[in-house]
Amino acid sequence: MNYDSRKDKFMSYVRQKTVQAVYRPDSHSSHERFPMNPPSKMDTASDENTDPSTFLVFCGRVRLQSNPFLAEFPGSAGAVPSHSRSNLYVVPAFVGRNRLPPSCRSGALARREGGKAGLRANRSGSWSRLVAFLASWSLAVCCWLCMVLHAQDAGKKVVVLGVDGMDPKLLQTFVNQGRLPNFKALMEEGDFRPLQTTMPPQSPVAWSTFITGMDPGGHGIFDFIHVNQAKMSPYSSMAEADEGGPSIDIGSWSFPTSGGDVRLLRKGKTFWQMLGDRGLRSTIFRMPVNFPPVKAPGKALSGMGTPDILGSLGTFSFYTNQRRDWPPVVAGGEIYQVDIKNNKMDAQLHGPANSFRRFPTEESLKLSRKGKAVEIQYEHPQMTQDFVVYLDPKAGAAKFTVGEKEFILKEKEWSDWVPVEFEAIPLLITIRSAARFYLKQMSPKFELYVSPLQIDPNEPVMPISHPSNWSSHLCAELGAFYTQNLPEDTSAFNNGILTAREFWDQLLSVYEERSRALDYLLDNQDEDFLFVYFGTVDQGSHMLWHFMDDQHPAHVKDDFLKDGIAKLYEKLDSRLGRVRGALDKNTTLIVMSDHGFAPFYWGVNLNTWLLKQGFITLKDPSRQETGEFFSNVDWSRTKAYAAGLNGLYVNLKGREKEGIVAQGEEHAALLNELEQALLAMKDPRNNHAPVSLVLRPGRDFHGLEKDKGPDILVGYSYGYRTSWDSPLGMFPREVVVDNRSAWSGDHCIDNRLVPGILVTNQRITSDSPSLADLTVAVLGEFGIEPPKELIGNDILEPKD
Amino acid sequence: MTTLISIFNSGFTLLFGLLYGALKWLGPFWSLVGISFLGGILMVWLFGKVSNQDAIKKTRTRMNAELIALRLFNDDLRVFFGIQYQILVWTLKYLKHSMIPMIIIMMPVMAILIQLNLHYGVRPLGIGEQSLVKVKLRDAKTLALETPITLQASDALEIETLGVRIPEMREVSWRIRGASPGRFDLVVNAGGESMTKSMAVGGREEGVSSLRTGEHWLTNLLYPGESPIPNSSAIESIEILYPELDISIFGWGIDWMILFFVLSMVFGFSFKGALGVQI
Repeated sequence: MNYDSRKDKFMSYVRQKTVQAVYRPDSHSSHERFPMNPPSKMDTASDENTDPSTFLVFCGRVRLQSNPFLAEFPGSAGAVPSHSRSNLYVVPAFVGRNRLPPSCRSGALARREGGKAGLRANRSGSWSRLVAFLASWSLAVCCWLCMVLHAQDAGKKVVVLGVDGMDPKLLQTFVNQGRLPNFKALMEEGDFRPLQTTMPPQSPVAWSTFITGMDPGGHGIFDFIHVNQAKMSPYSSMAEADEGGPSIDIGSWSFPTSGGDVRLLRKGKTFWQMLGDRGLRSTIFRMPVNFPPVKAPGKALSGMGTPDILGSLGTFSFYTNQRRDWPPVVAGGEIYQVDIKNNKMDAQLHGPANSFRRFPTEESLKLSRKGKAVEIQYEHPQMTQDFVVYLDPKAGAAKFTVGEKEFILKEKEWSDWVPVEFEAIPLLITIRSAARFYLKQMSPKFELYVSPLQIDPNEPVMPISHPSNWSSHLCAELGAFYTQNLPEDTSAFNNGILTAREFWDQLLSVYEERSRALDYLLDNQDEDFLFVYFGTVDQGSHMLWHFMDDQHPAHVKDDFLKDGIAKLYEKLDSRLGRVRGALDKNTTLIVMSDHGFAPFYWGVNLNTWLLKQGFITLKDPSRQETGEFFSNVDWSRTKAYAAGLNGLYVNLKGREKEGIVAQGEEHAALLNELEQALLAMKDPRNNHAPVSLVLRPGRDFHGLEKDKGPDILVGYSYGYRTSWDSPLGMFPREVVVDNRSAWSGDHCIDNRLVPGILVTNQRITSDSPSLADLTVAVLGEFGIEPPKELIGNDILEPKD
Repeated sequence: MTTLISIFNSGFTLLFGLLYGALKWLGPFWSLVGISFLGGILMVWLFGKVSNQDAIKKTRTRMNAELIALRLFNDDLRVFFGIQYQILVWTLKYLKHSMIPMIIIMMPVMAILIQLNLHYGVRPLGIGEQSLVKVKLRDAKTLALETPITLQASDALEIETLGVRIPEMREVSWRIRGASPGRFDLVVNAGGESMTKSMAVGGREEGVSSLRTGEHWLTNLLYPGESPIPNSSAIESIEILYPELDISIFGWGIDWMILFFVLSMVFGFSFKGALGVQI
């Protein structure tokens, strides 16, 4: 297997399959391969507000009918948008005569009982009671106002600009070059420090720490990917979906009797929920690891972790009449062979599985035809939307017809958002999504890229905002926008589907969308706290590093893109200027990032290293380089294995499916041995140490979740990272390999090497503030004492 | 027939245009409420004029009487079924008396709907907004590559692409973008002749014609906004894909046709007593 195809498989594993496990593409087979349920479940913050039993108690009736749109997504079917539930259970609590305060009820009853004398007497009684009632209410209102005003610190506002992946060294360099005047001005007005990030310094982990103020031991997010040790299979760490109830099957039709649900796996209370407890409102725009968005006073739109319409983290489609020019499998996308006849191309967009229809599987039918007594297995067909492209090479343009939408694209042009609808039940249930088309080439080859099908913000089929109609409100104000996880299509660039310049254009289009949103949110500030997320720098730094760094094994000379990362910093600087211009002096402004960046020169095949060190034994050593996800591993003679981007697990008895290492002393001794061996590892090519930090969550973290992650977190040295193959459970021959991928910058290394940034208009009282400190500081800005579970300290000096 | 339709279109479009002009300051929703009010009253009044009111009154009275009888004699199965039969008979008579007036009413309602579609179906192209101009030709041969087919417009419109020729559909399409507000004519040159089509960019919601078609009584009736294209022309139709006009009530978008039907029915039934009409 060559390098590129191995890399593709890794990308596929990380970016696509794992989330399909969350939004299970319906078949039992996929469930087996990528089970949805992690080994344990705990209530999440979001669950607190959506507990169906609470709903039952207040409404006195059975759960609301399932939402057929959600039902369409296997394993996520039918949840009623949770805000509707909360609204419904609030109403009966306050409406209805019997629930009026007694002081109100008595007067009303007295009047009804009649009689002039009685009426007079009751009137005087009701007056005194009314006065008493008003007085008590006034007192209560005053108390509430005092509390709120104290919490609000006399109109205090805080604005946080979250710039994923902004690196302090690069920031300082560009500031020194005079390229970032607004950052420079903010640093001069307030302060600037590198911001200590989490270990591992992965975005879901780091943002979860900022969100909750806890380390991974508290919030339970240790990696993009977690391992279900009971089944020895990976799953997405951020969210999971529950299946709906049983379905009623009539022929080829299938009707779920109840809906499922999607659940955030991050534990702990968010800081904006803590603000909400004090009557403060927040606007949270695309905070990572917040899908579905937790409910708190104010508004929220989900960000990283939000699936596309297929349930993956982003699956593009690529149509070409030259299929053989492309690899058979690409990560994060599908390539389709199409025919062009008389300058016309007929094709289909592929949507999610239709859970209202079912057909026997081919395998079942074959066995049945052979006369074998088998139970027929059914599968849900994938929904499709036909589309037609009429090409006119002479005009250099093509006309597209997608459903009822018609549009024209010239070669090398991107479309606006095109509505794409999938009919689940004709005339009754339609799944709405949106995509952008890019006509890469018309002739001599036909090449068309279609973006991942986004959850339509106007009519979302999954809960992407709180309140649920806020996404449609934003859509009305801003037009359609990307809703998926990280919309910058790094997969398409990594696989050569998009060129570097095409990726650049797409990256900027996402940035422009976010910029428009920022403008709108600044112009309509009606909350006490505002958070806006930008992923541009992170995604750009991942994919453009090799243009900037001529030492990189994948270095490409491009005079424009050589300066690409700096240009992205400049873009963010202009946004900062816009924000600064919109804020008054009483507002605290914080610009922060979750981690910095480093080059990704060399990949470490950690599983190969474990094999060479004798911690892993293969069933058939002659087949070392074949098989995926440990299929060739002899678990009865394997002590440890690596999974995820920084995780290393012991094959523990009673936890792993075929664990052999006893808990207790043997486990501890093995961890010691592994720690020493990892730190002593040498790159045979240059004698460098690829690992510079080893953490043990059970020993080094705090909180209830600390024993539920990997046994060891591996912090790689500068220039190193886990390879593309190792997290796939594969065993290439070499321990260290060059990274020749366009994905050339990374941060999943020793967290001390990739701190984020903290720039604010206030003084910072610590020399080494951390993400967890920042959470406490935000609460501190509103005079709120942090709960004891929070591990940080307030590091902002109060404003005069 | 086509001439008659054209005369009717001109007159009715003018009349409706005056009505719309008087109400359009209210905005799309409230002007549609006003037109629905007038339409409901008109329909009820017309129903009263073209129907046999005495017969309808008598039929309804008999139906009510039979319903009372049904309650009185529900213990006698024979009488009960006899009454059921009578109810069926009187219901059919009621339908007979109503059907013809309803068919007569359908005609002005259709004319109103066609005018409403002209005013509430679509809106002018916004500034910076993209759309398509689609020209359908009578003969696919006109689409031969050597035959020039062009689109000309004023500066208010940016023509962003060359014409995309689709022989299979006898169609040429251009992508356009609104540049500045204005009302002007597009000029399509094909097969050695020129044909115009009105175009609206920007401004408030007004009656915009999306399709100019050939001389056929039905299409002329359905698209009264512009004079028909002569059948001798190489061009069969010119269409602009205008964006749909959004009509919303408290943030909820609603189709103008549903709104008109519901409101006109409500207003009509509310005022039937005042107009002394039996329905």
